Amino acid sequence: MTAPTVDRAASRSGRWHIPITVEQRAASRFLQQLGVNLVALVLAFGLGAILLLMAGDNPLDVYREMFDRAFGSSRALRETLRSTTPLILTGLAVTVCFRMGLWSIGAEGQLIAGSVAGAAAALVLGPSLPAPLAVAAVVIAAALGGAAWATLAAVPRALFGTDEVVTTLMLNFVALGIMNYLIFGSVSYWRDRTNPGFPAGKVIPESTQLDPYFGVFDAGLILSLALALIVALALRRTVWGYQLRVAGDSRAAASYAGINSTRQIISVFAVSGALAGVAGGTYVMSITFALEPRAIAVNLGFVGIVVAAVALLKPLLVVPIAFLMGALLSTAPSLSIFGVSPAVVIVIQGIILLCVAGAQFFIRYRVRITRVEVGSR
Amino acid sequence: MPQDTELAVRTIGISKEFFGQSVLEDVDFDLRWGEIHALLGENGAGKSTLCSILAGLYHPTRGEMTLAGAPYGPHSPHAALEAGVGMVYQHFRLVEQMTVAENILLGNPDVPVRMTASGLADRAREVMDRHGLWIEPTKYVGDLAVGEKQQAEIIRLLNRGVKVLILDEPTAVLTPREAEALFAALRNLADQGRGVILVTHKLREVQQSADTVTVLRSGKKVAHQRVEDTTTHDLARLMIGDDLAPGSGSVDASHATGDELLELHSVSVVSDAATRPELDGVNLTVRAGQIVGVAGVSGNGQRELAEVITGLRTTTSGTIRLRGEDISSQTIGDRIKNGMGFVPEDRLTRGLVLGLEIEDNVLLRSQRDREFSIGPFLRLSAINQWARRLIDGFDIRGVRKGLPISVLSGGNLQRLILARELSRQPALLVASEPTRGLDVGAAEAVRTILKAERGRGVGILLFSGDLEEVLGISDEVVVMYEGRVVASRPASEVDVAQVGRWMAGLT
Amino acid sequence: MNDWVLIQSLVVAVSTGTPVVLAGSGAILTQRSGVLDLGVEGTMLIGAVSGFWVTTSTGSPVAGLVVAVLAAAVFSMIQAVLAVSLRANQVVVGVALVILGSGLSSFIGSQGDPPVARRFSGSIFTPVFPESVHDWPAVGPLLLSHDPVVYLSWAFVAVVQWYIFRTRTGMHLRAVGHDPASADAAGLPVSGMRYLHVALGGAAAGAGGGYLTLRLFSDWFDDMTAGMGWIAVILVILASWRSLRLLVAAYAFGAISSLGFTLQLLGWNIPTELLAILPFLVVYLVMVFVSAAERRSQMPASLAEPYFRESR
Repeated sequence: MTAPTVDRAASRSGRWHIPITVEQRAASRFLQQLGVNLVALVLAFGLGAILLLMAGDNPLDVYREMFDRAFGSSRALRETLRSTTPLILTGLAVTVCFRMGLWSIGAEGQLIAGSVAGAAAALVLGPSLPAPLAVAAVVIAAALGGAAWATLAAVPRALFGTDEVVTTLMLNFVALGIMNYLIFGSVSYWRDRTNPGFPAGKVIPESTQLDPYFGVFDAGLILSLALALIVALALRRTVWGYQLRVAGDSRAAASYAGINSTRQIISVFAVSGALAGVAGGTYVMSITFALEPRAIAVNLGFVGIVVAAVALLKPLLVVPIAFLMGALLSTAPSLSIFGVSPAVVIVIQGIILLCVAGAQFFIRYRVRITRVEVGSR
Repeated sequence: MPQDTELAVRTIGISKEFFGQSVLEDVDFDLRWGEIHALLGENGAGKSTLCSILAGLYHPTRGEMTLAGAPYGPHSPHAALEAGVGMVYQHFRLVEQMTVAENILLGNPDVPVRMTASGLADRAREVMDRHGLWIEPTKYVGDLAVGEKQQAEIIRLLNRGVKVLILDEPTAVLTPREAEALFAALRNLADQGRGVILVTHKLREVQQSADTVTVLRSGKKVAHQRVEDTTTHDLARLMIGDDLAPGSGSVDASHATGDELLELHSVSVVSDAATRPELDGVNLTVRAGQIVGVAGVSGNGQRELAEVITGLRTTTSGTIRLRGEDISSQTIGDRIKNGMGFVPEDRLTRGLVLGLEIEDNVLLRSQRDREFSIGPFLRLSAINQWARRLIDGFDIRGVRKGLPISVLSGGNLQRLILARELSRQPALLVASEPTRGLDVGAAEAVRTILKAERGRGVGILLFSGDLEEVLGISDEVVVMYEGRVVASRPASEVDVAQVGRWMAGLT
Repeated sequence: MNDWVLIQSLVVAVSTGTPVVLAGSGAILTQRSGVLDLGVEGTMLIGAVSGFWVTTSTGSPVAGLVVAVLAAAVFSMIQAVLAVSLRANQVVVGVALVILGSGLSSFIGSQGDPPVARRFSGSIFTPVFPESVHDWPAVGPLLLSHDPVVYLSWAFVAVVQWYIFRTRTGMHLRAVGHDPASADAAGLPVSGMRYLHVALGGAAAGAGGGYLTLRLFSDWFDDMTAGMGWIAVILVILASWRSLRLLVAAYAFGAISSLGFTLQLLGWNIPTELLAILPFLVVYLVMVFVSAAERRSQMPASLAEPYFRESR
């Protein structure tokens, strides 16, 4: 096994032969992996620049503007940090599942479920509870909402082996539809009834709205940092985390070790869903202040996949990467003022994820130009 | 058959290095047309590598090759095939989900662009008639017996116009009778003028079927002789070297066996009522301080037996007792607690977690043990210390901090599994193929460890495809055939020939 | 339900299902080669926006459809390079392609003067057969009232089925998808086959996107596929990688998606938001049911597994 796997990548046709050797690395260092991902990140911005050039914009100007809008003032920083919080949480949610080899792409739907549950808790309990308790109630409700939604994919996966990619995807659309129905399609408890002509969510009580400390960051960010630490410790230092890592590396080894896969799958999904759900809850408390489909369904779950992948599925690395992605996201609205399509931000995210996915190749394999020395010795 | 020269294949000074590690050194090898040429050597001697170079899978680091006198340097298996060199691998290159006809004709340029299943089958029949071999062409390969698959593979290569046929350990998966049929077919092919290379580490096969033998040891050619000029004894010495005696016949009678440890009473496993049961009323006893070796052609229920005992698979009926206690329905975790160690057959995918570090691997199967966890939390320092103890105690080399254990060599990985399973001080150790794929020295070290454990009173159930190993270190030999135990005798009372007949389902 | 309502619903189901038929049949080719193309949603969007741009610029829907097909095929090459040559995780690549396709199509839609997104094209594809035959009982509306792309999609479905099971290349395709190592040993160009079929799948998804924007909506707007590409990928799994079954599944999807239209004809009023959930909910439930029933899988055995010529 430790003997390197070798092929000559270019020689498949059997007619011509390019002297390139691809060898599997037995293992690679963490820093090496991180370096490759950072190169991928830079490459993504480079490709984005080419796109901007083709559209007739000066990429340097656009990037400078984006930098200013992300970090240039305390207001900018506040927006960036506001976008960072949900990305840390969805990034953690994706990390937990992917580490076990569960390819859940359901953070989006779980975030929505968390928003709905969190907003409900805020509307019901907010007026009667003191602020800290009300916020805690929203967080717990959001976590439960997200976990419950994840369970809809987890149970079929654990019991029948139903492909989680398919179920989580479909459940994303179902969750989105339900949220839309609550605000646009009905006069539900979540909807603001004061203005029947304009469908919008009812604003949550002030006790559940998070104010930024020093005008920069709010309790949601602190919570997400704490959760990142907890997830990191749980993976490293608990039996649950150990079993998750074993199952993620080899299903066969997990069953050999007596790990109950049904229980493990459901618990991992539930934790992942709870994290995504909390993202929804804090998002409502610190940004939208209401169940607001137009502002909530902005692909935070999908960007969580980008965050987790760039962060090499390491919970503590999720934090800085989420910060970078949050900065990128928070610049989107300002770009249209500048005359550039905000979609550029989505494009760059897509390219980042592609580059990082492709870069894994250079982490796992070593590519060399081969010197052919047949007959010479 | 084009026979411009007498030599089919010649290699001159072939060397191959992986990561600067030399696997083949300066090997000269000649194959004549019309001969069966055995390539003999222990695991890791380099015979597979040499064949892979001939078959275009690897590129030699140095050296030259000729085919029928002309320079030969295939840069892909396909190029080798085009040139007339085909290899039958241990894992057949057949698509299980497709039919025999489709497989035989796959990649064949003569197949019309538009075709039907029946047209394809007719064409396949034609091919088989031409070569005098026969397998029902409309059957799916996945439904064939191993021997049939091997034949399909040979037909496939012959249909591609192969002049040099290489077979990598072809009898490893066959019953003795199937093996005889194979050798007859190979002799026929050689008589037609083809060159046949037979890779093997079984001396008997060389004597039985080959004309010429080349012996490899540690990547070097040590002999090239006509088979009639050698004896089994000479070949064994050449293959293993003078320093190491063959591992057989080393039963030491000086240990006492104790009480019944593991008892199986009519254990059956039926996963599909339509096919024959995987296990059919198996009775078996392992005593403390005893090695019970299970022999059989692979696929006759050995894997299932190991799995029901260790809890990876549930029994359909029957009871399994460990130290008198019925464990048939216990979880894997409970069986571990009750003193069961298990060295699984797939050590790389099941027995170890290659992507994780050594600490995570020594913890495998002990994660709920009080010694290593308090409630939900792991005791990292205790785990760390234990890992260190095992590394020292079992001489596990190559461990690097912060890197996954995939950097270790095969022998070290196997010692790691043994270290982990034995240090839990099990009453019973189930060991499946503990020496497969290891070089001679590493395999001998593993056998020494097993014998030492027996001396300490551990009961060992050994599954091995290597008959000499089973007979060499077991106290009791059990033979399996089609899910049943067909014989169970003290090792001192049986010989290879007798066990071979049992393995083939004969009495 | 009276006959007229039933027939009208089925006609709408056919046109609603057609993008899924096209994209899904293409995805069958891709997945049969062993590549799981989760990026279909993004590829469809690329096809849609480029097709719409060219059509509104040139006035030729045929040119639009051709460009949609080509642009999508080129876009899908990203999948091929990453999944086949760089052996990347295909789930991650698929998600990335959806993000990229969504962003890039939206970006392209904001370009031009006037921007693509502000343009409008009238209903471009007209029925093949004369109006008079549309009124023939049953067969008229069901079989004879469609535009040329629908007939093309039927032909495509038949060709895909024939190609996979009745041609030499189709046999090679199945071998590459099930067991690339064996296919390689038989001298088949594994990577080449995968590249080719990823491109074909991308082209078909582009046609689906083009049809969506040129015929169904006569318009372009951001993320207009609204999950249709995902559905196409998943219906391929439910259809066991056979295009005739996919055709049925896609029209069933079309019927469920256009249920609102049917219910309106019947005079019922159900919020559109709830109806929008229905196809996804049904697919979820069917998927769970099917896996619980544990049928023997027809899945290409090496689906989503990158191929690396094996060592010893």
